[in-house]
Amino acid sequence: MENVQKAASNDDIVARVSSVIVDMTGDWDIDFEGDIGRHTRLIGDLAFESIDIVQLVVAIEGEFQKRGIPFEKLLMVDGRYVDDLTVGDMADFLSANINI
Amino acid sequence: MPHIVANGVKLSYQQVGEGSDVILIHGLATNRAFWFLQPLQMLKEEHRVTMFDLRGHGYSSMPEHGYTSADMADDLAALMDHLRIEHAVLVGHSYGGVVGLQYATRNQERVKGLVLADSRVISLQPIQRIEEQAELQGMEKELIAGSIDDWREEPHVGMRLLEDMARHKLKNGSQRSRQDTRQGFNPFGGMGKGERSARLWLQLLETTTAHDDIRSSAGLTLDRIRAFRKPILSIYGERSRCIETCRQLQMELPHSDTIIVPGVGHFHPIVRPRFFTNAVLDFIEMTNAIPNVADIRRKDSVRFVGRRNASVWPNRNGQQCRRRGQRRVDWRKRGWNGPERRNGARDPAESWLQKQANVRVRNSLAVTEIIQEKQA
Repeated sequence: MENVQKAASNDDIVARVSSVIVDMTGDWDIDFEGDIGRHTRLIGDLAFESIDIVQLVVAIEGEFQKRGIPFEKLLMVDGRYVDDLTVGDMADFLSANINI
Repeated sequence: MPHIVANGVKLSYQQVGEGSDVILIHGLATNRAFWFLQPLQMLKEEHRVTMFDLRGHGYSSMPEHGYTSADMADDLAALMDHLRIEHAVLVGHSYGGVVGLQYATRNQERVKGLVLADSRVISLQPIQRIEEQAELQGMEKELIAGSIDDWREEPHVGMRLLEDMARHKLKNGSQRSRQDTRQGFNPFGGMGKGERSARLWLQLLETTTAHDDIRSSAGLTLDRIRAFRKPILSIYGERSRCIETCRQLQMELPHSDTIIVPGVGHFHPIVRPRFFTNAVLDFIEMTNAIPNVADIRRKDSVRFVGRRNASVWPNRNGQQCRRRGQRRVDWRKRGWNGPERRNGARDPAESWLQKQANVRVRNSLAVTEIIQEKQA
């Protein structure tokens, strides 16, 4: 029962993160076709750059009404940005790091 | 998304952390993501950090006019007013440092201290030639080698390199640049391909007055700089092309402190972020410990200096005040010697700068080889 609730909650996070990204990228000139979902890659599919990631962090904090989420744990490895990130990675991280 | 509209421009910003105010100002052709990796993560543990995108950069809007450092200082003033920041330490890299200096010289009462990270101030360094750079970094070698122009004639080499890097990025668009910091930072690198950032920078240069505006001193005269009385830290890369500004600052503002970061160039806050941020944290702690530094004159003062290849920085009495891994200096006990000329004081950074002044021609082997090759 607990697992089912957790999965539902995670899907909800994916939907909310996806919605934030749709708002952000609405007027971008990118080749990506289809719906943004769990497996969408921020860099590979949506052509995110560093500033977009930073902006996304701000937008997600706004969406979930939380400040100070330790996104650096998700975005950096050995002091460098990770190569890419999916919406699902972001949702899993949020699920593990904030109480929603 | 947090933003304000000031002076007819939308300015995107964000604030993180709690504590005394620190404002980070990025340089040309980049955006607030410049600070996101290590500087922000370390600073936010102890301070409320505000960063924003300069006009024409990042998520801020791009008006047709108004890209002098004075215009951008007005934007900073509006942001500080909006966020009700009474006093702050300003930390600026490159052109961001010039914006900070513009603001600070006009609003000294609202600035606790200023960190200039590899800024080139036009009134202190009107011409910036390729010979002044100790060594070309990463993509710079490739660009100059592939160019048909004589780069020795270029008077604003840093700005020209930024423009050519952007064109290079768009031409070779698919290349990722995650390893760039190892070969010399590339402003259009970081996360992702950087093509949009490169395109934005070229758009700024081609469709607005930015190209000329950023080459203007915009009223930041030598007299105004000399009148600045607040703590100031100049932190420059050993291989930087802006080192002449650092040298001039040390002469014109004897109360300034200088750190030369060994082995790196203009983008040292990204290439050596921990070194940079620790220096900034120490500086902030010093400014916070002394509420009105301009009035303080203490005999028992500490020189805040860098030393090449050294992990221990000595104070005036030769005592160790910092070791690697031991960041804190107890500024409350040690005080600060204020904006007074230090009689006969010599420190490693000063000596190093003097040496550079004597060895005026700084053509590195790389530059010489490229030029000879092209002449042949």
